[in-house]
Amino acid sequence: MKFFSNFFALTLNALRDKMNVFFNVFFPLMILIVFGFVFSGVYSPSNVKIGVVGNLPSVKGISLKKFENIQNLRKAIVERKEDFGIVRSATSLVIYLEPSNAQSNEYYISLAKKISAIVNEKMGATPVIKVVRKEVNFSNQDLSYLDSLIPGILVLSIFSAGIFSMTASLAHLRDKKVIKKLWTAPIFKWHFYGAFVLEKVIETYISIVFLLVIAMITFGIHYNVHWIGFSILLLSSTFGMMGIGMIILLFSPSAKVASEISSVIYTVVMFFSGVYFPVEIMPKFMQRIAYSLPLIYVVNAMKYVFGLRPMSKFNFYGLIFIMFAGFVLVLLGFAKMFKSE
Amino acid sequence: MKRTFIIFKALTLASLKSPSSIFWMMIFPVVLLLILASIFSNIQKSITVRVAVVNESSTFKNTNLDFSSYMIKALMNISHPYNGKKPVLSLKLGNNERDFESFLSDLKTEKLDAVVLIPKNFNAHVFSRLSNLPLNFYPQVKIYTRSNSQSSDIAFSILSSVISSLNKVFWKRGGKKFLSTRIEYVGKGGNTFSYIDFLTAGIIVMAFMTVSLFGVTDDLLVQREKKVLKRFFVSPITKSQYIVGMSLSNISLEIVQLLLLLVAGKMLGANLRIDIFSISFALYALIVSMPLGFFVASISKSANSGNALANVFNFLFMFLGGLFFPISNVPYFIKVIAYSIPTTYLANGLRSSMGVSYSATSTYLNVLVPLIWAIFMSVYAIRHFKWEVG
Repeated sequence: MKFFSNFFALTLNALRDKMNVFFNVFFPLMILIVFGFVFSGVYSPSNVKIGVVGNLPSVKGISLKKFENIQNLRKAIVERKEDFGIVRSATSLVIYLEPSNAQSNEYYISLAKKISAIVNEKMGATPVIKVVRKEVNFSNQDLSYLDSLIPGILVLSIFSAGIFSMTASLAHLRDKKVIKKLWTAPIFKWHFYGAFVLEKVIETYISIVFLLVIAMITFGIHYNVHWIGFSILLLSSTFGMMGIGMIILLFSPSAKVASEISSVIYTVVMFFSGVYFPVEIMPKFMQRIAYSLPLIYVVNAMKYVFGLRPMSKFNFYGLIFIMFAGFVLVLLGFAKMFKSE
Repeated sequence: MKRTFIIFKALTLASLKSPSSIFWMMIFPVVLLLILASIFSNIQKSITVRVAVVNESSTFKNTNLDFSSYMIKALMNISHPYNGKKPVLSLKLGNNERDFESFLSDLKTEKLDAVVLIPKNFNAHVFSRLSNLPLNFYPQVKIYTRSNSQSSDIAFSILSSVISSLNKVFWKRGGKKFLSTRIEYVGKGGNTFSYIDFLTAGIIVMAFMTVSLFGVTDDLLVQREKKVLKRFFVSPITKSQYIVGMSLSNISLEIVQLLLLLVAGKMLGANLRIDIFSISFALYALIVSMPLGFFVASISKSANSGNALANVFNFLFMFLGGLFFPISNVPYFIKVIAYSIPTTYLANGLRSSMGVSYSATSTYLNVLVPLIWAIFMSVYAIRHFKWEVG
């Protein structure tokens, strides 16, 4: 009964706490929406603006804008009015690129080469060896870049919710001496800590499902989600991330310091999670760092439950076990070492 | 003047004594520059893609008509370290359907970046095409890639270039006219452009913005909540002296930050033009970024809400301002936001003044838009900031 009283009190507190609602729901939602719109056009030929000088044939699905001369085309590219340009001369086809588009230039080159092949074919230079590109993916669905990005964004939200629930919420309650006051009441410690953890786990679960639903509605994405696997992973990874939050809290004298350490860890780990930059394109030393952190494994597992990549059952349940077991171990240490004052 | 200096000294010392201020102001931007520079320069310079080739071709084996072996030799040539650089490809070979199925599975599970399939009668088909035999054979090489994968795109680009080179050899021997493709980079750096140049300028703008957003906002709101500001004004210090002292303290710290980032950028190989014009624009960016913190403090009721709002501004201004990568191929309304915010113009202006790239917006706008923001935010903050909480 006391456990549930604590649980309801903490739930009410969480709902009334505007900052909690902001950082658990609004902020991840904003990240999702902005990144969703920013990345939804990537790798889609119809969204690429190509400026051309000289006669080029029309290509299905690609729109070309004609320029009178190279100077005007170059100007349009540097002013970012065109994504890249193609100039046809008597003997060559020059692809003009803006060098700062490091992420997209490889894709632009592949589009330009497609156009070049068509031009050569029209000139009678049919390639002796024809290249046929076939795109595959694990789910055999027609996926966009955004589709594979969303599970990663959800994992980052779980990570932030997990660590900040400890370093912001619990530390805040400690700083305000709420925990100390609670110990004067006739309750066991587990009544409070158990209710706190349960409330945070439920809160994270609801906010992540909410984010997923919004993403699916806003961007029209349809995943084949393995809902049971998703729920188990969501719960275990929330526990695991809370464990990391507990460790941070043990070494932090105040909520402010704990929040700052969490922010640093969150920001650095985010880059190594493989969400925004694929790990395989990183230098070797960074790949080693990435693979020594837990986040990349959770991202892979999330993609697995979304049907986007394979994972053996042993690895999946092994990860779930490590997350839960890690949390329990940390909790045991935390219960002994955490000072409520 | 003396009182302003006292405030300046006190706040500067407080920042220097605070590990978190030192981290966020001095260390974090440099670490971020290091991480992003390592990732992007790796893409540009030395990425090795993992490719598997399944050669099912069985005709004309071990003869000079074994075209598939020429292709494989060409690929093997780029799968060894060259001039101390990493190999372009890491190559696996197979010759039957079982190998193909296994490689395809590896491609799907991200163990490979591309799989090349050379079909059974490939050599015979190439021979018939070159000999203009009236047979309807069309030699095809299938390249399997993973969708939405940058490394797969790079692998495809390399593989298709190798095949394209072979086609050119055939065309030349057959006396055919064709257009060869060539890449040219436009912009100030041209072919010598390095992503670190682009990034360093962006991170300088980010650093100015975050100091103002998190430093000024937090200082003002926390001190207001702790009633430190109220106590200050019991003494003969005026509000304007306090604000000037605080601004000078932040400006001096940001100048140190700017120097650190320029040194870090140079050490990483950034090629930035440092002259009176670029330094002036950097200082201009620093000054016009300052009111952002005062503005956020003036629209926030508490330190907590100030922190939340600072996060919103920071995220939008950082990612939509194109500080780390250019914003392109985005919906119209995102573009409208991107071209309304000051960081877009500050980053464009700084990159242009440092000789990194041409500015997508005119110099006039690069100066004017951030100035309008700064004036608006300053006026708003002066009128609405509450020095005491009730």
